[in-house]
Amino acid sequence: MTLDDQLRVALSQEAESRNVPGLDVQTLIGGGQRRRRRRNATRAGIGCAVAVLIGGGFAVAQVDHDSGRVVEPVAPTSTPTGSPSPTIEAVPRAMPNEGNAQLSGTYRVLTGITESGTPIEADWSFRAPGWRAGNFPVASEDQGNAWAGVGVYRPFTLAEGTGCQGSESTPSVGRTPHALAVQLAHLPRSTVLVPPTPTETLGHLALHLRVQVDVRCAKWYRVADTSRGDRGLTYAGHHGVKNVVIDFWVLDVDGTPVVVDEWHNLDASAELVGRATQLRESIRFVSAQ
Amino acid sequence: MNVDEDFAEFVAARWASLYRLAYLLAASHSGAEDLLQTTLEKAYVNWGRISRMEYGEAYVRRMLANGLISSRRRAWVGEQPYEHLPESTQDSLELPVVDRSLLWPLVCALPARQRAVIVLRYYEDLSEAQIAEVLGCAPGTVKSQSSAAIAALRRALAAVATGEAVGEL
Repeated sequence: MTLDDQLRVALSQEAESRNVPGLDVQTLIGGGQRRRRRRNATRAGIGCAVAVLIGGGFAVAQVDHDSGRVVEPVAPTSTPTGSPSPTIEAVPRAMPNEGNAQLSGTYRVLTGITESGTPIEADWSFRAPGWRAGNFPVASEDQGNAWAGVGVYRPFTLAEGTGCQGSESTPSVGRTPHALAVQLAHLPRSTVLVPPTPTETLGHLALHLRVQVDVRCAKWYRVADTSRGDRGLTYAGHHGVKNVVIDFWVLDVDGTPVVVDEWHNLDASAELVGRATQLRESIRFVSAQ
Repeated sequence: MNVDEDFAEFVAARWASLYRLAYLLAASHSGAEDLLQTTLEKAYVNWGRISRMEYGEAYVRRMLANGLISSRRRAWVGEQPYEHLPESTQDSLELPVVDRSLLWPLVCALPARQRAVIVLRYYEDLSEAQIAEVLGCAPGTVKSQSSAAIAALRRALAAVATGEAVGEL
């Protein structure tokens, strides 16, 4: 009997021999609720700190363009003890994800969590009209015959099988931009148009690739599972549309690979594609500021 | 079914199995209870997402292993993972059958990360690549940790067989 075999037997027997303690689900749920409240409070604190930093940096950087001299930063006015800080209003709103909500202005989106547990957040600025909320925003033209969308996320899983919602997915997601880009180049029913190529986008080094995907599904083609839910090409398969082109940029954000994508139907107009590009280029990672 | 009910149903169904894994990882009853409670509280916070996963239980089991390592994380530098292990050819050597009461204390004496690798490999049946993903390290590092653990166990077993006192691994 090899040591491998003996370890298998010993561990299994040891585990089975244990008396399992009683379960108190309510205590677990109570602990989970306290943990969630602490997490939310921490995030709110981070948001306030970021707002203060952004506000402070902005004040320092202001220049009187008429005279060319630097304007003295205005000292932050003290607020009476106990009053809520006015800087909280500088933090953009959370982007809604319910369908059909019209999007305009700037929103802050939780993109994922780094390996060390730090939230990765990004601000999106919607300058053009016609963007609708979903897990990730979409825009359309020609009465819904052509669609485009933009996404930013850290994938939990990636598509396998047919790629359709409900099909298999793999939780083995690359931990480096290169590994993740290679996986994206092998999405189900996809053809690589541009292989992973080093570039720079949104202020980060990145790998860019472009694939064409056959998105015909009973529901939708699901690229990945993310902190905002499915990253699906939700409307792309409607009206008999078969293929979409999707560009991926895989960035390294604070040591964590993050995907930025932009997709459109093959027959989308240059104007619609331009709107998607404009939205993608508006994205700013908060943690990188 | 709301989140609390769904979570409670999952925990009730998988409690014994999760506790046993936690016990092997933590190598003690009290450590297992602490590890399992902390992990399940974290799972509850993200239950909306975990419950939609195809392999939600596998994810929670990985959280357990990750929780053990995270709680004991320290500077882990200077180790050089390597592809070919000098003692790997000995892995298949036949050994006399060893009583569990002898082998388990030796596993408990391993450093936490080595013990986690052994438990994930021989109890959870994960591949080296899967263990690397769970522990957040390179596959070569898993190999070197596994190799070190197996070598330590062999030394300890040899010492026991020759009647020597078994010190800390």
